[in-house]
Amino acid sequence: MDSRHYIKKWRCNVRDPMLTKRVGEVEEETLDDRISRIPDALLVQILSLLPTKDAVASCVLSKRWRYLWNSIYNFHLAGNSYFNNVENFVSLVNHVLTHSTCSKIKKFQLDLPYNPKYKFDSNIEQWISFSVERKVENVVLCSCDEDVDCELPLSICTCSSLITLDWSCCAIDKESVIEWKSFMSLKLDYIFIDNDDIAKILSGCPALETLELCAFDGFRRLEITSSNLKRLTLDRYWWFYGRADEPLVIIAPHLQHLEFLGDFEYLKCRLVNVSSLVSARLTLNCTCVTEIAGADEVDGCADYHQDFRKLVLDYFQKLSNATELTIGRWLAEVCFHVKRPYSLFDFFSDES
Amino acid sequence: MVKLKSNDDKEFEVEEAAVIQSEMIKNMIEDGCATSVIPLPNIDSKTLIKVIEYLNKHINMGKAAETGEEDDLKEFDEQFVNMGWEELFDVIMAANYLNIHELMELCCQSAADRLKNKSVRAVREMLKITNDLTEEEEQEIINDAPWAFEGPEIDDTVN
Repeated sequence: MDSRHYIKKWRCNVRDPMLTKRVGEVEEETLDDRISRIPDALLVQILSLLPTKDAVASCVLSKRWRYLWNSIYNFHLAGNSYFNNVENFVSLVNHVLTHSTCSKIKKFQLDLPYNPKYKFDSNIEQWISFSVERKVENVVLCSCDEDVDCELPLSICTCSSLITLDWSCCAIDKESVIEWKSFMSLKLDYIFIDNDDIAKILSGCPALETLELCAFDGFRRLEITSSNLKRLTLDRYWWFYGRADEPLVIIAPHLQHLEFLGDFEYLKCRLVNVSSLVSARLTLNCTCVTEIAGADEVDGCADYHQDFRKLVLDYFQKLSNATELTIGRWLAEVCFHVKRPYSLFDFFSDES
Repeated sequence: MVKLKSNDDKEFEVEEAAVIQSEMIKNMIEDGCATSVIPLPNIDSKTLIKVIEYLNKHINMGKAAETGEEDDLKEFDEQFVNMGWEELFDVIMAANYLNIHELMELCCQSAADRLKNKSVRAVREMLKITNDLTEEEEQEIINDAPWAFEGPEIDDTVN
């Protein structure tokens, strides 16, 4: 069955002046006829929205479907069910990449199966460079193994087609150069990067609009000078290598939306310049010093809490121009402990 | 108002703001080719009614975010794709012809959601695909990539 034959036939029908005669026929068409009439490109579009494994399995449906999946342009290689059988996952991915005829990949997502015995380093490098060669726009790498760093392969660091990147357990080679010209959105999960790394990333993607860092540590200075970067999310501070009391300083005069989410432990985020903020969502919570494992013995925690109170007061001052503010329970509790009269806090008291 | 005519000769009046979500009709209007009735020779009235329902609901979609109607739209979309395979493919073909990007995405996603994790047998039954491969050919294809056909997530039901 040649699908092109059907497309051609369909197109002829469009121009058929006797079309009205065909009405009854059209109404009685079966599902089988309908699918025959659907151009390959539309079936490929549907296959591209499936987990890639399902798309591959479609090759056995019938002769027409045999090679359809080879043209898919989204890849979702989900390894979640392969943790006992990593070799099969590797075979699946290699099979997919060998047979793919796609010249422009829209989305390339790898969910690595959790298996502490298997190192994916060389696979990742090979798979990612496949996607880079095919001008990938969106890359997602999920890894459940927090003990293994997935270094950004060199090929992706200068991938000019890249628009979004979502990479977990990320490590960045000190020597690598980052150059993402059309890059819009970056999400890094479980990441330890220092001040130089974050500065390198920011200067390497001048068009960046959204930056999201989850389970982060390392850097203590986040200076965003680009006026394109409008949205910053910091989600959970993750204590990587011992405790460092130094606060994280945020200088972002063009930033419009700011989010602090989840557990920040003892990390103090100091807002130095966020004068363009329109909205802020602060649902973070911090831990009392007496509850931090590994902290020095302390007599009391009054001073510690006083420091956070000052920090929160400072947030409200810095955010006074924002039109939308959402605060979480921890921040509200800190507010209610503030004794000095302050109109904003009175408002919160009334609400409760 | 713009007049559309289905292939079974029924005419429908649609607001211009709604109908220009179709890139094809938008181009026709811009080129001044939409002065009278626009004939749509490969869309029947039943499908066209569905498409117009979608276009009318998604009018001024950009404003939905501001007015908090996003959830309402999402609910509408969910209800909208609640249709049989025949009808879904008709809407996909119509959306493709009219070049309505969002409607294409919505319907293709619905098709993919229904097929996700389904066994080969289930997909054949759902889409009424006649298997024209011989048993030998089928086995050969499976042997080429056996791990694509096994796994705990595979669902053999047809609903």
